[in-house]
Amino acid sequence: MTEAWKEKRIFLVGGPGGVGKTTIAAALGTQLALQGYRTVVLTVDPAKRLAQALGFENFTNDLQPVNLKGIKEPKLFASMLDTQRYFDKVISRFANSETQRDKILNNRLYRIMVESLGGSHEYAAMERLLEFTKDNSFDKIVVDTPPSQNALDLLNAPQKLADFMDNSVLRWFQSSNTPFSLFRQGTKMAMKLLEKLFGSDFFRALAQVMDDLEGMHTGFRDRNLEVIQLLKSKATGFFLVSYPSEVRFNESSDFSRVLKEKGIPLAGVILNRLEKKFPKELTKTSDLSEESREQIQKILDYRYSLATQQQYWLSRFETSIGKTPLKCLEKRSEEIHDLETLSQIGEILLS
Amino acid sequence: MKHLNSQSFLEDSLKRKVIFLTGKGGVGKTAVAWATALTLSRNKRKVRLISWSPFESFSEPTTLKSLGITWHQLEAAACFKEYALKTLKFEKFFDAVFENRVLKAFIEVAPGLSETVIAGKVWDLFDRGEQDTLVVDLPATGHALSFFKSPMGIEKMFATGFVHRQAGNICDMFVDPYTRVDIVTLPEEMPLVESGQFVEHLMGLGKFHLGFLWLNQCTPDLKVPDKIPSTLDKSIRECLEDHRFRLEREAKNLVEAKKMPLVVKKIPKFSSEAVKETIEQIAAHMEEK
Repeated sequence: MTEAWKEKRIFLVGGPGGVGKTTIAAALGTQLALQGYRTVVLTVDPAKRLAQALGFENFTNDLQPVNLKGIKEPKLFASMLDTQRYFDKVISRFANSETQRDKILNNRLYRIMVESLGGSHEYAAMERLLEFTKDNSFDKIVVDTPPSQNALDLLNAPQKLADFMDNSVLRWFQSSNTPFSLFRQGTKMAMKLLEKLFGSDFFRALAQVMDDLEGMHTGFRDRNLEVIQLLKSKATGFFLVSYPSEVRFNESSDFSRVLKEKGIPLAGVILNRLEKKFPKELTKTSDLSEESREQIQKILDYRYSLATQQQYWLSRFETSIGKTPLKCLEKRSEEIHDLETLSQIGEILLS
Repeated sequence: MKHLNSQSFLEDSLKRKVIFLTGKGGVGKTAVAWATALTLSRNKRKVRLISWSPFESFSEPTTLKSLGITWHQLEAAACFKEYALKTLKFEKFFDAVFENRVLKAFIEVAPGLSETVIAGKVWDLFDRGEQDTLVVDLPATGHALSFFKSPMGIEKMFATGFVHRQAGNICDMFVDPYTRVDIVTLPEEMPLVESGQFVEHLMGLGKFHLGFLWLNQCTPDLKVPDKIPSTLDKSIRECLEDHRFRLEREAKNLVEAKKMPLVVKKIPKFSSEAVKETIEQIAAHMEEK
């Protein structure tokens, strides 16, 4: 990533679940802060140990300074995203009146909807990011994107929500005075179907939420455009975290293709958990018993084949990504939960 | 107390009609689900593999085809349509209704609806019994919980209507004596903690039959000599020490895993990083024990 990252202000760290995204985001943040940039790391669900390292033991605050050794003025901040709370904030902002806001926030169905709506975490993360972007006190913003089945959810979420909030869609659900005769035949039938399936009570309750959301669509749509602009901007770098295997390779290829289609440049690929290469064979064996020699050779064989297999998929990554910077991180046998290790990893990534 | 009488994966699995699998993202849940299906079909069982992800997934039909596994990818909108057409005798004439984006938005947003229609489809396949075993690859633990929770809570949420009546059938299938829930995890602290939480939540929901806890990607039990000779090259000593470190750490985690009410089984980390080969290796390992 050499010098290219210096012009970036926003570091989006994305990829499938289980590849070590959160750790990498924290490592990048730590190192950027040590280099003097006022940095915030936005994360959704840090592992317990990592949360401790970042000072999230009792996160009462949305934004928390992290103490770094040898630096007086706080440079590193960590922010833990609470989707439900954040959605409430979004609703409050877009609501046209206090009455409208309270009506929605007090609706039990709305609460469940935020939980169940696919992509609501992603949406909230993007919203929070926009807020940080507007806060000029931050030089660098690192986003640990929510663990998605598929990294593309992150990019599709704002659009999906904006679609859902679309005025014409909302109007459809509204219980208010629209005479049924105005609907087309198909619409009437769909209405009947839903009522038959779910019973009139539930359907009425849902229609009520939709009714309450009236007039908020413009806000959602505008935000969506802003997010897209931000993702495409030169100041944003998308870093894909992956692993050298067939599954991850295919997934990453699909992902970078879609990024390209959307006009979002891929700033770098980070392959995590690479096995260290050890010698293939025992050389000095004179003072070893036959048994020990065999045992040791078996371990060497195993570790060699692990590394070799990874090497193959690593080379596939190298050829397919072309000029995009690629960084490899070695697998660590111990869990990472201190700022020192994080800054070491960050140093490797930014060197 | 373990829920299973038998410690043998094959013996127990041959009796089952439905096997649900779940696990944290990135632990190899899908690979273990596929290997389960493969093992059963190699033992003359007629298996259907069901996969459901609430988002688009990068599934690989070609790999499954080459392994000879019958496979269904369930998607909420399609299941909803099928259900409505069949159960309500809603006429085909109104096909256009289902293409309506409003309806699609509704399916997406109505709490627990996607989960319930998917579970309903699984129930339908279970009820028709055209296969011996259904292997259901559920989404990551958080979503899997809502998969089980939704039909269970839905009777309250939908006080009337068809969905309400159907939910009871689905719940019965979840706790049927021929249904089993397996969990895939890693021999690492965080994934294990998460599995433990999942088990706790699930047991709070109802009388599920918990089966196997797969510890995936374990370091193979290759013995490291008690004393690593100092005459060896530094890099070789480092390799051996690292291997020993991994074995010791995993052994500690194994103790924690065994406290859960599931039968713990280890799957070694195979050196292959290719999909088909890995599935076959896991399946061979499952059958061995």
